[in-house]
Amino acid sequence: MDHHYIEDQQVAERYLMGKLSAEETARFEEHYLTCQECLDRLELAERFDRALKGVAAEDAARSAVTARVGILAALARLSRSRQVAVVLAAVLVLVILPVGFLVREIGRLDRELDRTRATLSAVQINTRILQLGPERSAPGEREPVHRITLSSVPEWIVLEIELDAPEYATYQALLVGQDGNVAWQRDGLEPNELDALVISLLSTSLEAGDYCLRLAGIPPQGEAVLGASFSFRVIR
Amino acid sequence: MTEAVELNAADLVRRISDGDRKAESRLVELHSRGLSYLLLHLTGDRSLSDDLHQETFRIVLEKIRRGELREPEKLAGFIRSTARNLSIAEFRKAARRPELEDVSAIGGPAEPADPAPNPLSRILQEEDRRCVRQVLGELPSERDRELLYRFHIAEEPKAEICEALDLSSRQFNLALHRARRRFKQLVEKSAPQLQAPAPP
Repeated sequence: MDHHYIEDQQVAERYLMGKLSAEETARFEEHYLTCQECLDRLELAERFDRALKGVAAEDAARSAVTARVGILAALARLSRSRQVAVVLAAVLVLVILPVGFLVREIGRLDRELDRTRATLSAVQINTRILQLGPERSAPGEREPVHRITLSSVPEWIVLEIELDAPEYATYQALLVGQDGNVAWQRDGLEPNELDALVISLLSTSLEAGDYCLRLAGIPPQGEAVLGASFSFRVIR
Repeated sequence: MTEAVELNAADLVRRISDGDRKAESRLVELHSRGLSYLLLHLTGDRSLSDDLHQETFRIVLEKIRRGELREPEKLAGFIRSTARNLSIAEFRKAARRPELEDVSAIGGPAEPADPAPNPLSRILQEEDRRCVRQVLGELPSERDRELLYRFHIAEEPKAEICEALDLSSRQFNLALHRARRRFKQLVEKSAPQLQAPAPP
């Protein structure tokens, strides 16, 4: 693997995202073991990626807060008589809107932003790992054996699925909540050298309840082939 | 791996098999930083990766001394697979430990570890975010900004981004390269004493 290829194919960035094939991962890891230039590139890419995600999270939270505060700012710009008219109309049309709710909401969003930012950028000790085995009964027929308790503190959790002699090079995974909505999905998942799929999820994407992770094998041509299902329960 | 590196690896393995202690030190020196990075990437745990770093070299050197490395030119691959196997063994060991909430003797479920970074890491990360904001502000077009967000945040494939933004592969590479280069310049300029990489 030469540096032209690494630069042209964004190998370092895709490695950090977990998007290299197993073969590319092996070649790149063997390469950077002795390549100071690529190690520098990786460390810089990691810092840039983490910082950009932090900036995006900050901007998203500020947009949510601004939308709420913007209503009050617009009202403040009106003349006195118009302010009275708008307020009276609001009282007549709506149940009294508690301003305290807005203030509490801003505080809550700021705290949530801090926690999520900390999670995205920090070392995590004792990451929760849930090893999932295939189900012998149809999803929903019995209570999930695998359970994980999550707190309000955002954290990464890892789902490990061991495949018995995987038939396909790539898989599609679909995580479905008990309400039938898709909580997460990803195509192009490749088993690692131990024939396992390893998926990392941020805990904030999982509400309390039962989930079913459905795998489908992707043949070289044709439609996806439905495979095993894996259930687990999230307790909060 | 380049031919020069392969020859170097084969030579190192031969010398270590012959009992050359300096060759052992050279092997560790050549691979130490890369191995540290790999183990930290695999485990996400600096303390664990330090332990596995030592253990990896111990296993690799013992194997070479006994003459059991049959393909010396694949030394890097052997180091890599040893590191991965040790990480996976730790991974499985951790997974087999009973869930804390099931072990009433310990006194109930434990709270997850606090993921907040230490103060130095926080300063480094705040500085990095400031530099990224400056990079974003200096980008020549909204399209470049969207490219970065799609690639790094949404993690869309390059081909999809190029099609959506009407970019050639070369234009895509140039935009990423410019942003990274500018980020590096800002980071090096603003706080030279903070250039040590932040722990992940």
